Amino acid sequence: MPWDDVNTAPEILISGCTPRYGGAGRPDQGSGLSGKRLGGGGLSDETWLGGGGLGGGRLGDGSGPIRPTRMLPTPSTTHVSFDNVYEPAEDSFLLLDTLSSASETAFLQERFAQQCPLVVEVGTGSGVVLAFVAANTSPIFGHSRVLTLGTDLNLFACKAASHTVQQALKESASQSSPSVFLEILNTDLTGSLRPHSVDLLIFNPPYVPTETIPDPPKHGIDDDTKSSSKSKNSTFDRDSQLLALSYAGGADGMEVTNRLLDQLHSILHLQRGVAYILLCAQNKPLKVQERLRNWGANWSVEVVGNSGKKGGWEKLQILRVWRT
Amino acid sequence: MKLLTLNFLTCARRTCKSSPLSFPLHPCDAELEIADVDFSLDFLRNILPRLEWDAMVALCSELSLPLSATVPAAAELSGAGDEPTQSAKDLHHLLLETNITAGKLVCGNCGHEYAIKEGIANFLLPAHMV
Repeated sequence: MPWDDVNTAPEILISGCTPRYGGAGRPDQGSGLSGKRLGGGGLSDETWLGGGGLGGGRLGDGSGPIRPTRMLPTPSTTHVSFDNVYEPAEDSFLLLDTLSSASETAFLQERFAQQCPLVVEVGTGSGVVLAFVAANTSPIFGHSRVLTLGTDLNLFACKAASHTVQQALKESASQSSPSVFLEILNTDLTGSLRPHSVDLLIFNPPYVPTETIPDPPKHGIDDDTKSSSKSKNSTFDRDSQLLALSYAGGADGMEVTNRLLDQLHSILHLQRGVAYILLCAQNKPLKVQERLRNWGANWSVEVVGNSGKKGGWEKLQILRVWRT
Repeated sequence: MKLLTLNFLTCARRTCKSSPLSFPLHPCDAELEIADVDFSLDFLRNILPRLEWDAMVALCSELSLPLSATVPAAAELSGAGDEPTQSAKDLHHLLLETNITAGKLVCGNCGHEYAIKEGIANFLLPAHMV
């Protein structure tokens, strides 16, 4: 119930905004909050709306997350420039915890016991989530016959994520045999993937409610190496736009997620397809769930992860949507 | 881009998805590079049923790479003591170790060309083409 109370209790929104890091490392972005929020990258004069600024949950507010401690290592992203790629935050970590939880590994191991599943993360950002799955296929799936592939609009993210996954695979080389990482495609959502080819889809969307969504990069992004000849301002504007694409979700923060939900029917495998989708409180998640339940008897929906309650409501949740 | 990836790709334009001509995408001016990948017989056996073999044969012939016209039977992949056969090693090399690092992928339906640079394929479309 606490979910939809959010919209009638705006003052609660502020409570999610305790900084988890000092902002010192990213002075030109105004804050060092974890999670997605308005105001990142200097695009907006508004202050953040707390769309996942979840430091509180980790600082011990007495109502901690309802999830186990993550036993598997978090992939390193120290090589990633967070000037133009979304930095792993509470939302990313909630996905790691959920995908490696007892209930989800049991579900995935049963569903993909005899398969060679194709795992696709849409909008990889730094690649921390896809790398985590790729490096931990044995504990998650019970075997390593797993293909991983990512997509991102942001070419910098594509390069960063590719590095993150490859490095995580190298570091987990002690596994009997590693999973197969295909690549990161520079594309919008699931564009260019064959219909019904995806077994497991993961999406940490741009979920912050915003008035508008920035235009996607026109046709790729100007190459890194040329940026020295550009003014500092145009690089800053470009980076701001790229960061905005990682959090700006339009009306109810749901415009991008809705487009992805519409693609699930055509992209998920006809028998095995399953998707993990992250929502925040402002997305009106009860309404989203209700809508998905109306897809009919061939689909199931369940909340399989949440960020813990603060002030009586849950800020982030992860839906598992799957064909039955 | 690994050749195996092409098994899962089609044209990004919505209007092309239903056309059989949009799969596989056709490599053009492709620069190939070999990168080592750990061999796994278990993986190879299990990926076979997922391959669109005719499509893989077609695009390998476009790249002048060898691939038998028929899918190898599981028994052809390993010999005595579960040792991988040469044809298993060749298949591994082709699907997982052969990469397109630069060039284009062309849709057989609409003719749109998607660039591959530094191994990353760009499927972003101008708004009027989505």
